[in-house]
Amino acid sequence: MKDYKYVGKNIKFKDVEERVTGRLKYAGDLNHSDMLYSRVLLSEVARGRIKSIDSSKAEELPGVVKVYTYENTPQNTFNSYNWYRGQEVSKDEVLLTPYARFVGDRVAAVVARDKKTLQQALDLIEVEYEEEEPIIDPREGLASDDSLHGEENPFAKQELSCGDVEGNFAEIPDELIFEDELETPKIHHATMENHVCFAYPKEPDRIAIVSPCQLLFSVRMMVANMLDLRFNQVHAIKAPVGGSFGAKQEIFLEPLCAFMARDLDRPVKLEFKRRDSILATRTRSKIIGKVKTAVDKEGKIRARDIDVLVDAGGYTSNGNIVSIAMAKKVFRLYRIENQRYRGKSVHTNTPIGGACRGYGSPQIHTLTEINIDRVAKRLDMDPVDFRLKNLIQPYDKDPTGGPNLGNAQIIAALKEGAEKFDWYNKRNRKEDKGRYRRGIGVACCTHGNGYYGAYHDFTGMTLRMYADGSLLLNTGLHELGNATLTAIAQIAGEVLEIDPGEITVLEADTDLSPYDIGAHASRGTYVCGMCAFKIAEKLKEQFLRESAKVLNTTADQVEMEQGEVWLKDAPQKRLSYGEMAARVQVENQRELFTTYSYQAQTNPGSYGAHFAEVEVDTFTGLVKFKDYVAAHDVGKAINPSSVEGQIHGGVQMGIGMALCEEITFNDKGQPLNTNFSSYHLVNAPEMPKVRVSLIEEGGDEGPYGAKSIGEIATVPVTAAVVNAVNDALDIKLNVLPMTPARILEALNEKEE
Amino acid sequence: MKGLKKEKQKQNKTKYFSPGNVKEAVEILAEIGEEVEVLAGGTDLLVRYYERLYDIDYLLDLRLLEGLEGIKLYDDRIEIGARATHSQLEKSEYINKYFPIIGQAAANVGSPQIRNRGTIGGNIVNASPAGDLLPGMLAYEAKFKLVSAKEEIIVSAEDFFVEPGKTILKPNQLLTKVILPKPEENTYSSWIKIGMRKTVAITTISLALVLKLKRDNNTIKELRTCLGSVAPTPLLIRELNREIKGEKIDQLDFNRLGELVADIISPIDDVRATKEYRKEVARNIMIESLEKVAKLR
Repeated sequence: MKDYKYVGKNIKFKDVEERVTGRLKYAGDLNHSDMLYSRVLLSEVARGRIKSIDSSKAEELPGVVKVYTYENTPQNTFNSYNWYRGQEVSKDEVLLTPYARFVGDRVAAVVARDKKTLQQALDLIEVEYEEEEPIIDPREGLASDDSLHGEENPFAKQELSCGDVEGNFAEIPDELIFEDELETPKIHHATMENHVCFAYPKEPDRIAIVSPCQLLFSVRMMVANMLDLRFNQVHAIKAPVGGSFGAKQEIFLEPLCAFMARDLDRPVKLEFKRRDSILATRTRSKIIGKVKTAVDKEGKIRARDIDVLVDAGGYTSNGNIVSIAMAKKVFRLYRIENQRYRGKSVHTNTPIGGACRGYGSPQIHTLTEINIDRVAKRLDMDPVDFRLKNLIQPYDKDPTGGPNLGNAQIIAALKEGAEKFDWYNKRNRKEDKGRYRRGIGVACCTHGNGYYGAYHDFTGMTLRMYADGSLLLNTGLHELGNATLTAIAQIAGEVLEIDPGEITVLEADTDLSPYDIGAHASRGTYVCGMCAFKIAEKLKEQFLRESAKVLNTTADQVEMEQGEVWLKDAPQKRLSYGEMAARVQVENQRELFTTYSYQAQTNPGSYGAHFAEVEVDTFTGLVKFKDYVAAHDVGKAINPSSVEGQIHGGVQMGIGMALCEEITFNDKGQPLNTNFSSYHLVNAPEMPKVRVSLIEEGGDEGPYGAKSIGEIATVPVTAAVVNAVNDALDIKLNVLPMTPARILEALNEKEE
Repeated sequence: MKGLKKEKQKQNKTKYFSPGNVKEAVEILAEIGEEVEVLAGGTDLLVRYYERLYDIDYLLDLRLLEGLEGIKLYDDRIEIGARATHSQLEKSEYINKYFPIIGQAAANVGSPQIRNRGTIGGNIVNASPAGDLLPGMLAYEAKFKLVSAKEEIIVSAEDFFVEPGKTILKPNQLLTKVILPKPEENTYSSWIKIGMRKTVAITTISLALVLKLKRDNNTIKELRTCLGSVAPTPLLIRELNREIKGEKIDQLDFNRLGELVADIISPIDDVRATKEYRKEVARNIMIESLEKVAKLR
């Protein structure tokens, strides 16, 4: 592979010093003179129509400016997942509701002159509900025809298939058909920064909204839609994001904040507390899944049938789409000619499901990879060998007609990971009999690279070189903390032969940037990075052409490298880019400036294989990690340290899903853990040392062959950990998370 | 100090006191003890009143109060000032020498930030069923000194806890000191805390065990077993001691004792674990604790 100057190098992230020293101004740090503060009152009941809201005491409290409820806010409906104009979505949410559909539904908002008054004001609002029996378990939702929104429950069904599933199952004897079930919990994104946004009126008749979000142009659209404004009356500005993971992809706070700011004609900052974020943003969708796999005696998968129930919570959001996303994944990892996915989405009186790192991919892979493991073991085959026998090959077709899988290097990742992990030796180890039992688990996975094949996927950029040779790349991108802007600068710098530090990359600002569809679908590097690559090439051509004019020659006689430009015949006479750019302005009377709009044309798979070694304490049910290996087919790592960092973070989230993360409810729908003293994340002392292998074979359309990593990093983790725990204890746990109590219970059941 | 309440009612704001010594503090308590909130490290109080500090009518801040700090060694005891932090306990030579499991329990609490602020007095009067210093207090037969404007009394840790968040401490009293009698020869102890994770976790179940052996270093003189997070208060299991008194540790059936502990306790389900889990783990960590102390001999 070619040796690059900037691509593949661990270049320091662009804002890392500001972030770690606390100098970076997040939206919550912003202050305008005359600013007002706001918080939202959340429903305390899981289901019930509001009989009365008495906000008079709150309004009398000194400092309170206004209290909003359904009675004085627009009641037009929206879907927080709606990200482009013309998209068909089920709109069932309002800014402030007259009818609470879960504990955490937005009931009122208080605006006050100072922050301290807000909680007291919220406490003084008296709400009376006509309580109704809530639906908490999604299975109840299926069983009843009760709907929360005057429509059928399930409100959506999905099906995707290839080949002849039923015919093949009929042919295979029962002893070669293996069925498994899995229930995953609602999970909180746990971003360090709670949800926050800040709106201020702008003259003439405009509104500005500052938001740490993933889809700024969609924020603009939603604010305009909800406030009945033209798009050009809304100026949306992206704030630095203190963690997102999909939580800040959906749009539900910004329109409310903008409405209040316009209504009061004052700047308003709306902030969530942790409890608000856990209950009233979005969660990883709970699923209850069943999978049935038929194999032949040689260990080839003949057919697979998958049924998934998605718990969307109180409102629709992406409850249908996330199921479709899950469906697509199962056809792109193993060669299964006959396969069917059927999904149903139901409403329940629990917090709303939505985008969450992987978008259904971790849930569906956990279901299928636990099953794959059990099939292998019941066939008495090694789980790695069984997978190797069935995995897809590079450039396989998607059997449902989706985009080609591209240079899919899952087999290489699995082999390299297994070797690094010492899989076969670990597997041959003698079984532990004592208190502590070790076990190993593996899981494979795939994820996408953008929206091609499902939605329109394009982005625009403008790039200019200033008269001193420094560059400005204006984009509609969103830095979410995964060094996207740094990678973009590395790509453009590589093409233009200039240090990425010389390139300022701007984030989205709807007044100033070209349009971008947003930071979702793992498209940052693959799609937007390619736009950076193309526009850098275009500017390079222009630079050579304009330099040639200055030097009185043709473009093919000009060389540029490492910030210098010269005539092929006179390499000793070099000009810096800046000297040349200045002469281009003076002599050619033009700015070095170009614009580009890039459309994605492919959507290959990214792939990963994770290996976990655990030690389970059978006295306490606590799980400790002995080893962890993550092997990923990333095509090419633009910035390996950021790739590795994202993998470590993905592992942290996946272990949480496997072992401890769950928003729990009682049968009345009251959440039991709404802060971090009872909602446990995996913290640093619990983390294994994650050993990373990167497979960098390129071969796809992305810049320098790069593919996505951000989401896929967390996709196989839970399955690998569950498989390892099941291996250690020879149990079959199928309700996540595997808390110590559930582990001991499963052990006891086994002994009985 | 008379007339404090009137002043408060007029202003409708939190009235703040920062006494310099115990005498001043208890005088304030004598006047308004019923409604006052006492601030030591703040790790419980400020969490309880998070965003709702306006709800506090009277705040008694102990942070500038002299005479509640430090860990002092006497011939027959150690005295710990109520404002000693978990970090101080964790690092104290005396504690680690004579009451190692108090040091271990202090080290298991929360995070370094919490340990640097949270105090022993606060941990005791907060009386959480999951309070990590409490089982050790009961197991080591600690006594607490309670001071009011009228009198100073000494009470036993065993008698102190009433229910979650409630103790026998009266509104006019201040807990000033923890007194730990120095263990006799041949005393061994063990502390086990089980949480959802190793650090920054509220205890799911814990067990402090103090074993006193006779001169032969084998015959059991007394076994003090106290569990945390299995009952409304730290639970000292006295039955156990009656059961095995006079037996020899090297002949003791640890499993039988484990089962006994599991039978005796009746924990509840909560967000951290089920009651079945707590019973099973109680048995297991009882066995583990006995194994640990037997090895220390």
